[in-house]
Parts: sequence; structure tokens; C-alpha cells
Amino acid sequence: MNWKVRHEGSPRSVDDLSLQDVLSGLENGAWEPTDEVMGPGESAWVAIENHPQLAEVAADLEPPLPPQHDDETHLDMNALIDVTMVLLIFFILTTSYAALQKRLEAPSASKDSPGVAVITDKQVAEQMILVEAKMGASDPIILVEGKEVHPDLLLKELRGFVRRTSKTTLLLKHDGDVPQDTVVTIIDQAKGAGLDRVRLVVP
Amino acid sequence: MIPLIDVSLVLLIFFMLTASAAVAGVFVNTPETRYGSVADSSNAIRIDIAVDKAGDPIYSVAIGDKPPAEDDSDIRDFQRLLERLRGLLPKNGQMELVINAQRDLKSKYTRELLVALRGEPFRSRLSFNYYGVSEKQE
Repeated sequence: MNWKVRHEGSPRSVDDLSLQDVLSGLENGAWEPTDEVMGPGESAWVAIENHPQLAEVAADLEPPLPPQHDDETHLDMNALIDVTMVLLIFFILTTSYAALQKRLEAPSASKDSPGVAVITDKQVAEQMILVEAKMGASDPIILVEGKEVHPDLLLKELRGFVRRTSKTTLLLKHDGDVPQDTVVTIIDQAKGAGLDRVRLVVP
Repeated sequence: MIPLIDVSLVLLIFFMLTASAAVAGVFVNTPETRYGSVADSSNAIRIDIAVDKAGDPIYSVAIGDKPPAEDDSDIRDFQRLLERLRGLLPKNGQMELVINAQRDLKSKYTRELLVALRGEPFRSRLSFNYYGVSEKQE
């Protein structure tokens, strides 16, 4: 008995403690190693961590955990990643669609007027395959060198002409009322058949 | 819930912007082809030709994939189209031109346009003329 403990430098102390009380207080956190102790028969306050009888126990104690504070700089990365991925996919898709377009070379016009080439019947006969498009009762009619051809068979027919005659130019003559779809289909099939140029007859 | 809201907002803004672009631009139902080539048309002059109920063409002119300016859209007169087109021609060098004609447009209108483009000043300022087309669905 007669052990006294006080907080470092405090004028007040807890008296009449046994050595066991001091040790258990140290272990359960009531006292800290820096608190001061005065044993029986001693006249000076000594820090618990420096007292010969208590220093070893104080040294074995784990230091108290630092106080926990909420981390205010924390960022929720999941939401950030979600939004970033959506933006990334969006830009990938839009840039590819914006920059690239499917297209077909438009025919050059042939007529006796400024800036338009004039070609003779001889040139037509020697170098070109004549394809005409006219409006029928409801659907357009396609004629290859005067012979009516179903649109589904046009590619085959043109390939046959290319193989037999080695002509590389298609001369396209169409009525004004024929839909653009038919005209583009003929140009598309000409390209598929290996004809490298399409010329347009202007009335 | 917060990530869900974030993504929803982004999608909402995306659809709002594309919806407004759809109103501003003329989206034309171009003919389908199998042998059209895919190319970068972002710097080409674009002429969209839609068709009204009477079958007459409605022209609009713009560069690349940009929506046309107010004066360059809803053009009904062919001479006015050529006038607006002249305004878009480069001062130096040449540009490509893409004609996006609606598939049920009467072909006399595209022929008329191609003949006009053979004349000056278009002839010396346009390198190639193309028809804009779409991929054929098998």
C-alpha cells in the first residue's frame, strides 16, 4: 500500500494504492506510462515508465492507438469510373461515326455544254456499256445494251459484259423520274462488276 | 444509388444533345449499296437532299458532319443552293463533295446538280463528287 499516482505535474494524486492496483491501472489504461508514481518510502515523483519496479511493465504495454478521424479527402472511385467509362464509350462511338461515311463516286456528266464532256457514238460503241433506266408502270426498268435485266441479275449481266468485251466504262442514261435508289444501285453494281468509271448522259 | 444517378445523368445529357442535333441536321435516308467505300468525309462539303410530300427536293448544305447553318438548310430553290454552295467553297485548294440524296428522290435533281457542278467555280474547287450511301442490310 501507500503507492500514489498522479498525472504528470498534477497537484492532485490518487493515494493509498497497492502495487497491484498501479499495475492493473496501467494495463487497463487508467494510467499512462508518462503519469507519475511515488512508492512507499519514496520522496520524489517518478514517471511510471522510469520507475524501477514499473518500467518493465510500462515498456510491455502497446502504445495507445492514435485517435481515428474521418478522412475528409476520400473520393468514391466507383462513381468516377462509371462516368468515365460511359463518356469513353460515347466518344469512341461518336468519333468513329462522325468521321467515316460510306460513299460511292458520283458519275461524271456527258453533254454538249460548257464544262461537260462530249462523247461520240463511236466512243460509246467501242469503250462503253450502255445501261438505261426507265420508269415502267410502277417500278423502274433497267436495260443493258437494250436488253431488259432484272435488278437482282444486273451484277451478273455486267460481269458477263466486262469479261466478253473488256470495256471499263459504263454509260448511264436514265429518265428523270427514276428514283435515286435505282441510279445508285446501277453505279454500285457497276463498281462490283469491275467497271472503273460511270458516265452520265445528260439530255 | 449515387453511381446510378451519375450514369443516368450522363445518358440523359447525351440523348438531349443527340436529339437537338437531329432537329438541326437533315438526316437523309440514302440508298443502300454493297460496294460503297468507307472514307473520312469530315472535311468534305455535304449536300443533303430530302424530299417533301409533293416529291420536290429540300436541300441543305454543310461541312462534314456539322449541322447546316440556318441559311443553309431548308433550301427549295436550286439557284439559291448553288449560291450557298459557292459560299462554302475553299478560297485555295480543293474539297470533296458528298451528295446525300434520299432514295426516293427523282434522279433528275441529282443529275441537274452534277451538271451544275461541272461548271465554274465548282469545277476547279471540287476534287471529287460522291454519293453518300448506307450499308446494304443482307
